[in-house]
Amino acid sequence: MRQRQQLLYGLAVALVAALYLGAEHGVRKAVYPPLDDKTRTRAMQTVMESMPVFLRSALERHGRVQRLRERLAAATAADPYFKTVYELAKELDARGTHRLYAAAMERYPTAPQGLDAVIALLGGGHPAWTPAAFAAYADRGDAAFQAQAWARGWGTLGQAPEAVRTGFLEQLDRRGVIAPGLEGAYLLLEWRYVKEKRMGEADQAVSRQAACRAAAPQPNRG
Amino acid sequence: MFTIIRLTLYRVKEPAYLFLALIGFGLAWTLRHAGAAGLNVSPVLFGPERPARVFSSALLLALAVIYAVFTGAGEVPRDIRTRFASLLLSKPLRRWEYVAGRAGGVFLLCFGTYAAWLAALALFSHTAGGGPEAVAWSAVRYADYLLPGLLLAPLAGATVALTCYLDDIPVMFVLFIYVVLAWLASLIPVVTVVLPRPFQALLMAVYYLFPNPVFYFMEVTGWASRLLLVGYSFALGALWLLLAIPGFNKRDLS
Repeated sequence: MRQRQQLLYGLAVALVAALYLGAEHGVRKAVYPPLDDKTRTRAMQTVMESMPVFLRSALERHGRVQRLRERLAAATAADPYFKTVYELAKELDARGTHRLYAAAMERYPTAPQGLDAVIALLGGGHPAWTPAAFAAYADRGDAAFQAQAWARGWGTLGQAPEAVRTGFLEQLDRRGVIAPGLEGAYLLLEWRYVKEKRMGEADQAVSRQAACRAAAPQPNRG
Repeated sequence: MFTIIRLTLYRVKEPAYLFLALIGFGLAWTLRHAGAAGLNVSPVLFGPERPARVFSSALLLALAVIYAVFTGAGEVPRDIRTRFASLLLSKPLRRWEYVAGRAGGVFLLCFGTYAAWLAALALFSHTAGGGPEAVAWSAVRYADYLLPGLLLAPLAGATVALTCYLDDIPVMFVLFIYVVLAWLASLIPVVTVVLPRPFQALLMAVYYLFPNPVFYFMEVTGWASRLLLVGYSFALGALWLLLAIPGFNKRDLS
Protein backbone atom coordinates (compact mmCIF):
# COMPACT_ATOMS: atom_id res chain seq x y z
CA MET A 1 0.00 0.00 0.00
CA ARG A 2 2.77 2.35 0.99
CA GLN A 3 4.70 1.52 -2.16
CA ARG A 4 1.61 2.19 -4.25
CA GLN A 5 1.19 5.57 -2.61
CA GLN A 6 4.81 6.45 -3.27
CA LEU A 7 4.43 5.41 -6.87
CA LEU A 8 1.32 7.53 -7.23
CA TYR A 9 3.09 10.47 -5.62
CA GLY A 10 6.06 10.07 -7.97
CA LEU A 11 3.74 9.89 -10.95
CA ALA A 12 1.85 12.99 -9.85
CA VAL A 13 5.11 14.94 -9.42
CA ALA A 14 6.36 13.81 -12.84
CA LEU A 15 3.06 14.69 -14.50
CA VAL A 16 2.81 18.12 -12.92
CA ALA A 17 6.50 18.83 -13.60
CA ALA A 18 6.00 17.86 -17.26
CA LEU A 19 2.97 20.13 -17.46
CA TYR A 20 4.95 22.93 -15.84
CA LEU A 21 7.93 22.58 -18.17
CA GLY A 22 5.75 22.26 -21.26
CA ALA A 23 3.54 25.21 -20.40
CA GLU A 24 6.55 27.30 -19.39
CA HIS A 25 8.23 26.60 -22.72
CA GLY A 26 5.06 27.54 -24.60
CA VAL A 27 4.47 30.77 -22.70
CA ARG A 28 8.13 31.72 -22.94
CA LYS A 29 7.98 31.29 -26.72
CA ALA A 30 4.92 33.54 -26.83
CA VAL A 31 6.15 36.23 -24.47
CA TYR A 32 9.90 36.46 -25.02
CA PRO A 33 11.29 37.34 -28.45
CA PRO A 34 12.82 34.48 -30.48
CA LEU A 35 16.14 33.83 -28.82
CA ASP A 36 17.28 30.69 -30.61
CA ASP A 37 18.75 32.36 -33.67
CA LYS A 38 21.77 30.86 -35.30
CA THR A 39 24.11 33.81 -35.18
CA ARG A 40 25.22 35.54 -32.03
CA THR A 41 24.82 39.01 -33.50
CA ARG A 42 21.16 38.44 -34.26
CA ALA A 43 20.67 36.84 -30.86
CA MET A 44 22.29 39.78 -29.14
CA GLN A 45 20.01 42.13 -31.07
CA THR A 46 16.92 40.23 -29.97
CA VAL A 47 18.23 40.21 -26.41
CA MET A 48 18.61 43.97 -26.54
CA GLU A 49 15.14 44.42 -28.02
CA SER A 50 13.57 42.38 -25.27
CA MET A 51 15.14 44.42 -22.51
CA PRO A 52 13.51 47.26 -20.61
CA VAL A 53 14.44 50.62 -22.14
CA PHE A 54 16.51 51.83 -19.20
CA LEU A 55 18.54 48.60 -19.20
CA ARG A 56 18.85 48.64 -22.97
CA SER A 57 20.15 52.22 -23.08
CA ALA A 58 22.66 51.43 -20.32
CA LEU A 59 23.91 48.41 -22.24
CA GLU A 60 24.03 50.31 -25.53
CA ARG A 61 26.06 53.03 -23.83
CA HIS A 62 28.37 50.38 -22.43
CA GLY A 63 28.81 48.97 -25.95
CA ARG A 64 29.53 52.41 -27.36
CA VAL A 65 32.12 53.10 -24.67
CA GLN A 66 33.80 49.74 -25.33
CA ARG A 67 33.97 50.41 -29.07
CA LEU A 68 35.39 53.88 -28.52
CA ARG A 69 37.99 52.56 -26.08
CA GLU A 70 39.06 49.97 -28.63
CA ARG A 71 39.32 52.67 -31.29
CA LEU A 72 41.32 54.80 -28.86
CA ALA A 73 43.76 51.97 -28.21
CA ALA A 74 44.18 51.44 -31.96
CA ALA A 75 44.75 55.16 -32.77
CA THR A 76 48.37 55.94 -33.66
CA ALA A 77 48.14 59.64 -34.56
CA ALA A 78 47.06 62.60 -32.47
CA ASP A 79 44.25 63.60 -34.81
CA PRO A 80 42.10 60.43 -34.70
CA TYR A 81 43.14 59.90 -31.10
CA PHE A 82 41.72 63.20 -29.87
CA LYS A 83 38.66 62.87 -32.07
CA THR A 84 37.89 59.63 -30.29
CA VAL A 85 38.78 61.11 -26.91
CA TYR A 86 36.18 63.85 -27.30
CA GLU A 87 33.59 61.39 -28.57
CA LEU A 88 34.26 59.11 -25.62
CA ALA A 89 34.17 62.01 -23.17
CA LYS A 90 30.51 62.59 -24.08
CA GLU A 91 29.68 59.11 -22.75
CA LEU A 92 31.58 59.41 -19.47
CA ASP A 93 30.86 61.14 -16.19
CA ALA A 94 32.96 64.05 -14.92
CA ARG A 95 35.51 61.88 -13.13
CA GLY A 96 35.87 59.51 -16.09
CA THR A 97 36.31 62.44 -18.46
CA HIS A 98 38.95 63.96 -16.22
CA ARG A 99 40.87 60.68 -16.14
CA LEU A 100 40.52 60.25 -19.90
CA TYR A 101 41.81 63.74 -20.62
CA ALA A 102 44.71 63.30 -18.22
CA ALA A 103 45.74 60.07 -19.98
CA ALA A 104 45.37 61.71 -23.40
CA MET A 105 47.55 64.67 -22.44
CA GLU A 106 50.13 62.35 -20.94
CA ARG A 107 50.34 60.59 -24.31
CA TYR A 108 50.34 63.75 -26.45
CA PRO A 109 51.39 66.58 -24.09
CA THR A 110 51.98 69.17 -26.81
CA ALA A 111 49.30 68.28 -29.37
CA PRO A 112 47.18 71.33 -30.24
CA GLN A 113 44.17 68.99 -30.68
CA GLY A 114 44.22 68.52 -26.92
CA LEU A 115 43.28 72.14 -26.22
CA ASP A 116 39.80 71.29 -24.88
CA ALA A 117 41.24 68.53 -22.74
CA VAL A 118 43.86 70.88 -21.31
CA ILE A 119 41.23 73.52 -20.52
CA ALA A 120 39.07 70.88 -18.81
CA LEU A 121 42.02 69.62 -16.78
CA LEU A 122 42.93 73.18 -15.80
CA GLY A 123 39.36 73.88 -14.70
CA GLY A 124 39.18 70.57 -12.87
CA GLY A 125 42.29 71.42 -10.84
CA HIS A 126 44.54 68.67 -12.21
CA PRO A 127 47.92 68.95 -10.41
CA ALA A 128 49.95 68.70 -13.64
CA TRP A 129 47.87 71.30 -15.45
CA THR A 130 48.44 74.53 -13.58
CA PRO A 131 47.90 77.92 -15.25
CA ALA A 132 51.66 78.03 -15.86
CA ALA A 133 51.56 74.65 -17.61
CA PHE A 134 48.59 75.84 -19.66
CA ALA A 135 50.50 78.96 -20.66
CA ALA A 136 53.53 76.87 -21.66
CA TYR A 137 51.23 74.63 -23.71
CA ALA A 138 49.62 77.61 -25.45
CA ASP A 139 53.03 79.20 -26.11
CA ARG A 140 53.98 76.27 -28.32
CA GLY A 141 51.37 77.23 -30.91
CA ASP A 142 51.29 80.17 -33.33
CA ALA A 143 49.58 83.50 -32.56
CA ALA A 144 46.19 82.34 -33.82
CA PHE A 145 46.34 79.22 -31.67
CA GLN A 146 47.39 81.27 -28.65
CA ALA A 147 44.50 83.66 -29.13
CA GLN A 148 42.10 80.77 -29.45
CA ALA A 149 43.56 78.93 -26.45
CA TRP A 150 43.38 81.89 -24.09
CA ALA A 151 39.94 82.97 -25.22
CA ARG A 152 38.49 79.48 -24.91
CA GLY A 153 40.32 78.93 -21.66
CA TRP A 154 38.85 82.08 -20.17
CA GLY A 155 35.41 81.26 -21.53
CA THR A 156 35.29 77.90 -19.76
CA LEU A 157 36.95 78.80 -16.49
CA GLY A 158 33.85 80.45 -15.04
CA GLN A 159 33.31 77.65 -12.52
CA ALA A 160 36.98 77.01 -11.83
CA PRO A 161 38.48 77.56 -8.35
CA GLU A 162 39.56 81.09 -7.52
CA ALA A 163 43.24 80.10 -7.37
CA VAL A 164 43.09 78.74 -10.92
CA ARG A 165 41.35 81.86 -12.23
CA THR A 166 43.86 84.14 -10.52
CA GLY A 167 46.79 82.12 -11.87
CA PHE A 168 45.24 82.17 -15.34
CA LEU A 169 44.85 85.96 -15.24
CA GLU A 170 48.46 86.41 -14.09
CA GLN A 171 49.75 84.31 -16.97
CA LEU A 172 47.49 86.14 -19.41
CA ASP A 173 48.66 89.51 -18.15
CA ARG A 174 52.28 88.49 -18.56
CA ARG A 175 51.69 87.53 -22.19
CA GLY A 176 49.22 90.25 -23.12
CA VAL A 177 47.38 88.08 -25.61
CA ILE A 178 44.76 89.97 -27.58
CA ALA A 179 41.73 87.98 -28.66
CA PRO A 180 38.00 88.49 -28.82
CA GLY A 181 36.40 87.17 -25.65
CA LEU A 182 39.21 88.25 -23.33
CA GLU A 183 37.68 91.67 -22.52
CA GLY A 184 36.22 90.34 -19.28
CA ALA A 185 39.58 88.96 -18.20
CA TYR A 186 41.27 92.30 -18.73
CA LEU A 187 38.41 94.08 -17.00
CA LEU A 188 39.00 91.94 -13.92
CA LEU A 189 42.71 92.71 -14.11
CA GLU A 190 41.94 96.43 -14.39
CA TRP A 191 39.78 96.30 -11.23
CA ARG A 192 42.46 94.43 -9.38
CA TYR A 193 45.18 96.94 -10.33
CA VAL A 194 42.98 99.91 -9.49
CA LYS A 195 42.31 98.37 -6.09
CA GLU A 196 46.04 97.91 -5.56
CA LYS A 197 46.60 101.47 -6.86
CA ARG A 198 48.83 100.21 -9.68
CA MET A 199 47.52 102.68 -12.21
CA GLY A 200 50.08 101.94 -14.93
CA GLU A 201 49.08 98.29 -15.14
CA ALA A 202 45.40 99.30 -14.89
CA ASP A 203 45.77 101.59 -17.92
CA GLN A 204 47.48 98.78 -19.81
CA ALA A 205 44.55 96.47 -18.99
CA VAL A 206 42.12 99.11 -20.27
CA SER A 207 43.98 99.41 -23.54
CA ARG A 208 44.04 95.63 -23.92
CA GLN A 209 40.30 95.54 -23.37
CA ALA A 210 39.87 98.00 -26.19
CA ALA A 211 42.21 95.98 -28.39
CA CYS A 212 40.21 92.80 -27.69
CA ARG A 213 36.98 94.59 -28.56
CA ALA A 214 38.53 95.88 -31.76
CA ALA A 215 39.75 92.39 -32.66
CA ALA A 216 36.24 91.03 -32.43
CA PRO A 217 34.62 90.54 -35.86
CA GLN A 218 32.37 93.51 -36.61
CA PRO A 219 28.75 92.75 -37.45
CA ASN A 220 28.02 93.16 -41.13
CA ARG A 221 25.84 96.27 -41.42
CA GLY A 222 25.75 96.27 -45.19
CA MET B 1 -10.82 19.23 0.17
CA PHE B 2 -13.75 21.36 -0.97
CA THR B 3 -14.85 21.72 2.66
CA ILE B 4 -11.42 23.15 3.49
CA ILE B 5 -11.69 25.50 0.51
CA ARG B 6 -15.08 26.61 1.79
CA LEU B 7 -13.69 27.07 5.30
CA THR B 8 -10.92 29.27 3.90
CA LEU B 9 -13.42 31.29 1.90
CA TYR B 10 -15.28 32.11 5.15
CA ARG B 11 -12.50 34.64 5.71
CA VAL B 12 -14.65 37.06 3.73
CA LYS B 13 -16.72 37.54 6.88
CA GLU B 14 -13.74 38.76 8.90
CA PRO B 15 -13.44 42.50 9.58
CA ALA B 16 -9.81 42.48 8.37
CA TYR B 17 -10.89 41.13 5.01
CA LEU B 18 -13.77 43.59 4.71
CA PHE B 19 -11.41 46.45 5.54
CA LEU B 20 -8.97 45.31 2.86
CA ALA B 21 -11.78 44.86 0.33
CA LEU B 22 -12.89 48.42 1.04
CA ILE B 23 -9.35 49.67 0.47
CA GLY B 24 -9.34 47.87 -2.87
CA PHE B 25 -12.68 49.36 -3.92
CA GLY B 26 -11.47 52.78 -2.78
CA LEU B 27 -8.36 52.34 -4.90
CA ALA B 28 -10.51 51.34 -7.89
CA TRP B 29 -12.61 54.49 -7.34
CA THR B 30 -9.48 56.63 -7.18
CA LEU B 31 -8.21 55.13 -10.41
CA ARG B 32 -11.53 55.50 -12.25
CA HIS B 33 -10.35 58.41 -14.43
CA ALA B 34 -7.16 56.56 -15.31
CA GLY B 35 -9.38 53.78 -16.61
CA ALA B 36 -8.11 50.38 -17.48
CA ALA B 37 -4.92 51.66 -19.00
CA GLY B 38 -3.99 53.74 -16.00
CA LEU B 39 -0.45 54.94 -16.29
CA ASN B 40 1.12 53.57 -19.44
CA VAL B 41 4.37 52.02 -18.28
CA SER B 42 5.43 50.59 -21.63
CA PRO B 43 7.53 53.58 -22.79
CA VAL B 44 9.52 53.38 -19.55
CA LEU B 45 9.84 49.63 -19.27
CA PHE B 46 9.72 48.10 -22.71
CA GLY B 47 9.67 50.90 -25.26
CA PRO B 48 6.69 52.16 -27.24
CA GLU B 49 6.66 49.15 -29.55
CA ARG B 50 5.93 46.70 -26.74
CA PRO B 51 2.72 47.18 -24.79
CA ALA B 52 3.09 46.60 -21.06
CA ARG B 53 0.38 45.46 -18.67
CA VAL B 54 -1.86 48.12 -17.24
CA PHE B 55 -0.92 49.99 -14.14
CA SER B 56 -4.34 50.32 -12.51
CA SER B 57 -4.90 46.59 -12.40
CA ALA B 58 -1.28 46.08 -11.36
CA LEU B 59 -1.91 48.19 -8.26
CA LEU B 60 -4.98 46.13 -7.41
CA LEU B 61 -3.00 42.97 -8.05
CA ALA B 62 -0.24 44.15 -5.74
CA LEU B 63 -2.85 44.56 -3.01
CA ALA B 64 -4.17 41.05 -3.71
CA VAL B 65 -0.63 39.64 -3.60
CA ILE B 66 -0.01 41.20 -0.20
CA TYR B 67 -3.28 39.77 1.06
CA ALA B 68 -2.41 36.32 -0.41
CA VAL B 69 0.93 36.26 1.38
CA PHE B 70 -0.56 37.32 4.73
CA THR B 71 -3.52 34.92 4.52
CA GLY B 72 -1.55 32.02 3.05
CA ALA B 73 1.26 32.33 5.58
CA GLY B 74 -1.19 32.37 8.49
CA GLU B 75 -3.68 29.60 7.67
CA VAL B 76 -1.78 26.36 8.36
CA PRO B 77 0.37 27.60 11.30
CA ARG B 78 -2.74 29.00 13.02
CA ASP B 79 -4.65 25.75 12.49
CA ILE B 80 -1.75 23.86 14.05
CA ARG B 81 -1.44 26.29 16.97
CA THR B 82 -5.15 26.19 17.78
CA ARG B 83 -5.31 22.38 17.20
CA PHE B 84 -7.93 23.05 14.55
CA ALA B 85 -5.81 21.07 12.07
CA SER B 86 -5.90 18.00 14.38
CA LEU B 87 -9.64 18.40 14.69
CA LEU B 88 -10.10 18.59 10.94
CA LEU B 89 -7.79 15.67 10.27
CA SER B 90 -9.69 13.50 12.78
CA LYS B 91 -12.46 13.52 10.16
CA PRO B 92 -12.20 11.43 6.98
CA LEU B 93 -9.85 13.91 5.40
CA ARG B 94 -6.36 13.18 4.14
CA ARG B 95 -3.49 15.50 4.90
CA TRP B 96 -2.79 16.34 1.26
CA GLU B 97 -6.45 17.26 0.84
CA TYR B 98 -6.17 19.63 3.78
CA VAL B 99 -3.04 21.34 2.35
CA ALA B 100 -4.48 21.51 -1.16
CA GLY B 101 -7.76 22.83 0.23
CA ARG B 102 -6.01 25.61 2.12
CA ALA B 103 -3.95 26.60 -0.94
CA GLY B 104 -6.99 26.43 -3.20
CA GLY B 105 -9.01 28.48 -0.75
CA VAL B 106 -6.34 31.16 -0.48
CA PHE B 107 -6.06 31.34 -4.27
CA LEU B 108 -9.83 31.54 -4.82
CA LEU B 109 -10.25 34.10 -2.07
CA CYS B 110 -7.52 36.40 -3.40
CA PHE B 111 -8.28 35.86 -7.08
CA GLY B 112 -11.97 36.48 -6.47
CA THR B 113 -11.17 39.64 -4.56
CA TYR B 114 -8.90 40.83 -7.37
CA ALA B 115 -11.63 40.02 -9.94
CA ALA B 116 -14.17 42.00 -7.90
CA TRP B 117 -11.83 44.99 -7.62
CA LEU B 118 -11.16 44.84 -11.33
CA ALA B 119 -14.88 44.69 -12.08
CA ALA B 120 -15.37 47.70 -9.81
CA LEU B 121 -12.60 49.53 -11.66
CA ALA B 122 -14.30 48.74 -14.98
CA LEU B 123 -17.65 49.93 -13.64
CA PHE B 124 -16.31 53.09 -12.00
CA SER B 125 -14.24 54.08 -15.02
CA HIS B 126 -17.16 53.38 -17.36
CA THR B 127 -19.57 55.52 -15.33
CA ALA B 128 -16.93 58.24 -14.91
CA GLY B 129 -16.60 58.34 -18.71
CA GLY B 130 -12.83 58.38 -18.43
CA GLY B 131 -10.38 58.02 -21.27
CA PRO B 132 -10.83 55.88 -24.37
CA GLU B 133 -9.67 52.82 -22.42
CA ALA B 134 -12.45 53.27 -19.91
CA VAL B 135 -15.26 52.95 -22.46
CA ALA B 136 -13.59 50.11 -24.28
CA TRP B 137 -14.17 47.60 -21.50
CA SER B 138 -15.35 44.29 -22.83
CA ALA B 139 -15.42 40.67 -21.66
CA VAL B 140 -12.20 39.89 -23.52
CA ARG B 141 -10.46 42.98 -22.19
CA TYR B 142 -11.63 42.17 -18.70
CA ALA B 143 -10.32 38.60 -19.07
CA ASP B 144 -7.01 39.99 -20.28
CA TYR B 145 -6.66 42.19 -17.23
CA LEU B 146 -7.69 39.25 -15.08
CA LEU B 147 -4.89 37.12 -16.49
CA PRO B 148 -2.11 38.62 -14.32
CA GLY B 149 -4.21 37.49 -11.34
CA LEU B 150 -3.09 33.95 -12.12
CA LEU B 151 0.15 34.94 -10.47
CA LEU B 152 -1.74 34.28 -7.27
CA ALA B 153 -1.86 30.54 -8.03
CA PRO B 154 1.87 29.78 -7.71
CA LEU B 155 2.06 32.35 -4.93
CA ALA B 156 -0.71 30.67 -2.90
CA GLY B 157 0.85 27.26 -3.59
CA ALA B 158 4.32 28.41 -2.51
CA THR B 159 3.00 30.20 0.59
CA VAL B 160 0.94 27.28 1.87
CA ALA B 161 3.71 24.82 0.94
CA LEU B 162 6.25 26.77 2.96
CA THR B 163 3.93 26.86 5.97
CA CYS B 164 4.10 23.05 6.01
CA TYR B 165 7.72 23.45 7.11
CA LEU B 166 7.98 26.91 8.65
CA ASP B 167 6.01 29.29 10.86
CA ASP B 168 4.15 32.32 9.45
CA ILE B 169 6.75 35.10 9.91
CA PRO B 170 9.69 33.10 8.46
CA VAL B 171 7.43 32.17 5.55
CA MET B 172 6.82 35.84 4.78
CA PHE B 173 10.59 36.53 4.83
CA VAL B 174 11.34 33.56 2.61
CA LEU B 175 8.58 34.57 0.20
CA PHE B 176 9.84 38.11 -0.03
CA ILE B 177 13.31 36.85 -1.00
CA TYR B 178 11.77 34.30 -3.35
CA VAL B 179 9.72 36.93 -5.18
CA VAL B 180 12.73 39.25 -5.56
CA LEU B 181 14.84 36.37 -6.88
CA ALA B 182 12.01 35.39 -9.23
CA TRP B 183 12.18 38.82 -10.87
CA LEU B 184 15.92 38.46 -11.29
CA ALA B 185 15.53 34.91 -12.61
CA SER B 186 13.10 36.16 -15.25
CA LEU B 187 16.08 37.77 -17.00
CA ILE B 188 17.82 34.40 -17.35
CA PRO B 189 16.22 33.31 -20.68
CA VAL B 190 17.29 36.64 -22.15
CA VAL B 191 20.82 36.56 -20.78
CA THR B 192 21.65 32.90 -21.52
CA VAL B 193 21.64 33.41 -25.29
CA VAL B 194 24.99 35.13 -25.20
CA LEU B 195 26.58 32.65 -22.78
CA PRO B 196 28.43 29.39 -23.55
CA ARG B 197 26.29 26.23 -23.50
CA PRO B 198 27.32 24.79 -20.06
CA PHE B 199 26.41 28.09 -18.40
CA GLN B 200 23.13 28.17 -20.29
CA ALA B 201 22.10 24.79 -18.87
CA LEU B 202 23.15 25.74 -15.35
CA LEU B 203 21.31 29.05 -15.42
CA MET B 204 18.20 27.51 -16.92
CA ALA B 205 18.17 24.95 -14.10
CA VAL B 206 18.15 27.87 -11.65
CA TYR B 207 15.48 29.61 -13.73
CA TYR B 208 13.04 26.69 -13.41
CA LEU B 209 13.12 27.00 -9.61
CA PHE B 210 11.24 30.29 -9.78
CA PRO B 211 7.97 31.42 -11.31
CA ASN B 212 8.51 33.89 -14.13
CA PRO B 213 6.64 37.11 -13.17
CA VAL B 214 7.33 38.62 -16.60
CA PHE B 215 4.78 36.20 -18.12
CA TYR B 216 2.01 37.94 -16.22
CA PHE B 217 2.95 41.46 -17.16
CA MET B 218 3.50 41.07 -20.89
CA GLU B 219 0.92 40.98 -23.63
CA VAL B 220 -0.16 37.36 -24.13
CA THR B 221 -1.99 37.07 -27.43
CA GLY B 222 -3.97 34.09 -28.64
CA TRP B 223 -6.12 31.71 -26.66
CA ALA B 224 -3.52 28.93 -26.80
CA SER B 225 -0.97 31.13 -25.06
CA ARG B 226 -3.54 32.23 -22.51
CA LEU B 227 -4.43 28.62 -21.78
CA LEU B 228 -0.75 27.76 -21.49
CA LEU B 229 -0.37 30.56 -18.97
CA VAL B 230 -3.27 29.14 -16.97
CA GLY B 231 -1.67 25.67 -17.12
CA TYR B 232 1.71 27.09 -16.16
CA SER B 233 0.33 28.91 -13.13
CA PHE B 234 -1.62 25.96 -11.75
CA ALA B 235 1.14 23.46 -12.52
CA LEU B 236 3.66 25.55 -10.62
CA GLY B 237 1.27 25.96 -7.68
CA ALA B 238 0.58 22.22 -7.67
CA LEU B 239 4.28 21.42 -7.87
CA TRP B 240 4.92 23.49 -4.77
CA LEU B 241 2.15 21.68 -2.92
CA LEU B 242 3.39 18.28 -4.06
CA LEU B 243 6.82 19.10 -2.67
CA ALA B 244 5.26 20.21 0.61
CA ILE B 245 2.97 17.24 1.19
CA PRO B 246 5.68 14.76 2.36
CA GLY B 247 6.80 17.32 4.95
CA PHE B 248 3.28 17.88 6.19
CA ASN B 249 2.61 14.13 6.31
CA LYS B 250 5.52 13.70 8.70
CA ARG B 251 4.70 16.75 10.79
CA ASP B 252 3.57 16.28 14.37
CA LEU B 253 0.36 18.29 14.77
CA SER B 254 -0.16 17.66 18.46
